Amino acid sequence: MNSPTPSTHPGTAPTFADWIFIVIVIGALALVAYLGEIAYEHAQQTEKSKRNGEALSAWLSTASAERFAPDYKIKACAGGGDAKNSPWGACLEHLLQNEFKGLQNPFKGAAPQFIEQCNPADKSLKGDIVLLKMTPTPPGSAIPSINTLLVAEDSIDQKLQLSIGICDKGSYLVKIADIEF
Amino acid sequence: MAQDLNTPNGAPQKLIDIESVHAKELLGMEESGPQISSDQPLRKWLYDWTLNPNIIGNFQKSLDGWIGILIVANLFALVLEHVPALYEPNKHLFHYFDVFSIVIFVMEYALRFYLAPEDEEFQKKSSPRTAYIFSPFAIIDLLAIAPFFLQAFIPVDLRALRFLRLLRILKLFRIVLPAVKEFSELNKGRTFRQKIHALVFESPYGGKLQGIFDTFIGVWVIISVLAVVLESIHSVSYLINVEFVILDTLAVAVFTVEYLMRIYACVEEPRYHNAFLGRFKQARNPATVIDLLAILPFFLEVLLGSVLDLRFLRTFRLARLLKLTRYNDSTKILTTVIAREWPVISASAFIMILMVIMTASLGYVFEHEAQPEKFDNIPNSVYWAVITLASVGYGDLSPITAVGRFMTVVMALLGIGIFAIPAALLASAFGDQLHKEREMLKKNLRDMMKDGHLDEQEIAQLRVEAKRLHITIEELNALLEQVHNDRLHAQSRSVLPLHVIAEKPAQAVEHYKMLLSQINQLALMTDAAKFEQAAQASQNLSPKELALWQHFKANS
Repeated sequence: MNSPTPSTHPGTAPTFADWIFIVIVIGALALVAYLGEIAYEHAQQTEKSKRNGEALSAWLSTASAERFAPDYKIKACAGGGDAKNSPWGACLEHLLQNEFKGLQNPFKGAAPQFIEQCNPADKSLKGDIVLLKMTPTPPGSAIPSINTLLVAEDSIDQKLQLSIGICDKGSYLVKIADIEF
Repeated sequence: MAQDLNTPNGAPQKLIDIESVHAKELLGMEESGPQISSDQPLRKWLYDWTLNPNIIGNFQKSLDGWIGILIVANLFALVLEHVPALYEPNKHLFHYFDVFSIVIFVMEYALRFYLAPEDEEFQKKSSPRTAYIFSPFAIIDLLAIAPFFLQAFIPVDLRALRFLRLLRILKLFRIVLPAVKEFSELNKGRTFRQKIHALVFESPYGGKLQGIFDTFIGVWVIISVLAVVLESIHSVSYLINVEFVILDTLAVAVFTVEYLMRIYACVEEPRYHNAFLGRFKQARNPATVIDLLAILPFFLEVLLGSVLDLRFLRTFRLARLLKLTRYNDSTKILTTVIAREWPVISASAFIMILMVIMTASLGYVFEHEAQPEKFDNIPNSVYWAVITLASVGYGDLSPITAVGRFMTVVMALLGIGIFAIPAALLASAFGDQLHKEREMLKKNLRDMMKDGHLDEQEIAQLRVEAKRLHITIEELNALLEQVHNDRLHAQSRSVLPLHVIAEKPAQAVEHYKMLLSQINQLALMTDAAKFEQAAQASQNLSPKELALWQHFKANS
């Protein structure tokens, strides 16, 4: 057991060294609070990016049930029947001008980009949306589907399996959902 | 048998006579339980069992402990209620927990109210229960339960209600305040740095507050490690990512202050006395390095996160778990064992490396031609060599040539023996070290008990060491008996002063017999004529003494 040295100091009031220690502790706490605030801001920005992804995911899921109806109002996103070869680009453009007008990447303050994958080495991707088209592989394959970026030219006249995610503040993928559109 | 003595501070110190003590009593494992008479009135009996802090072995400490845990759990529930994703689906569970907490708190309040006339603090007042109601702790207790009942009668804003529920944390003052008071008493006249030292380092000045501080740090360690583990579960971190960030910041704030306190106050330890070198030595101490590792990832990730990818550092937050090793001496024993056996361990490591390189080289020589894509060079064959020698054998790489397979059989058989050496060595050395430390404790115990008594400090030390080294009741009893016998032997050798011998008639008789025996021996061995001549010449003996001598001589 350690035994402390007996009290050899004449007074009990804080000395100069004690005050320096107190200042250092306060300084360290202020630094932790400041860095914590930065980390909190980053976390909030990631949350806002997640909300973007969730909103898109929710809209696409809802539209999935309606867009094959003949009287579907948003023609750019309609599927089946008359909408043969309607491209995703037109639907996306419509969405960004109407339902998702003002959609912002909280990290950049601009509209989010739709990308194929997040890359921790590329910090410019943070807040962007990963939108992948999942093409099922033949039964018995090692992987269940091949995921590729849903590009503007891709046709949406058929049902699509999509995977949505966002890139967080470290440009790591945060998966939102796998949906049918 | 216990007796009271005064310590240098003036406080009475209990001394235990080792001749009448049982090992169970020494280890604090008495089967008899607290001394509470069942003949007394119900209220007094209930008070003694539940709230009396002066009776050892009653439920007072357990009650305080469980209430403390419930308060902390309430605080967590309150925080988690702010996370809609967690609160909404589990609303009813939160409500049930709140009701359960209220029932317990109300029962506690009612119990204290009913037993107030038995409490030393209130029993002298004209109306003890009224005095209790207006006491600060009772007001806090009431504030902790009042909001629950308030919402039943008055429409209260939910946010205000939650804030009021936060007041439950104040109930912890019932545990903390007495400890603070005791700490102030113990550290009266001591400097600020000495007080910091008493709080963070184990010392006689720490009291209960030091224990509370250790518990506080331990709770934060467990919470932050749990947070790191839960953060790796996508479904959890997706819902409460921001809360994890807040929690981590709070944990780092706590651990940073603790780290600074340890570095600042360590110079009060005799081995770290020098202001700079002492602190440097403390900073190099493994436990302090772990403290630093526990907080460093936070600073590095936030400061350099935009430049470098430092997410892997998050895993190092699990190092916080190692902070708990400060409260466990097993790791210290293991470190001692490794340091002691280092020459043998390093020798066996050298042989292992030699075996691995040799096996990898032979694998490359015999298999390269047959499997050039798997055994393409010696460094790549090292993986196969280690997996084979360590008897893991994943099977992703295996020899296919006859010579290669024969070589693998030989090397694998050798590997079983060589790779087992360090494990066997450590296991044996660990047991050996424990045995040594037990023997050392027994020696220390013998030294402690030489005076026939054990004081409170010695008993406390004994209990800690006996727990650490797993000393059983039988071993301690045997030791007590051995010390008792040693003392009897020592007494029979008459090393004690005469007045001590005279205090106990049995000892006095023994001593008298021994003296007579010695005179007889002297009479037999001495030349009688020369003895009497010398005695008469120098007139050293009176006639009476000489007559007594002649009487012995005649009867010998």
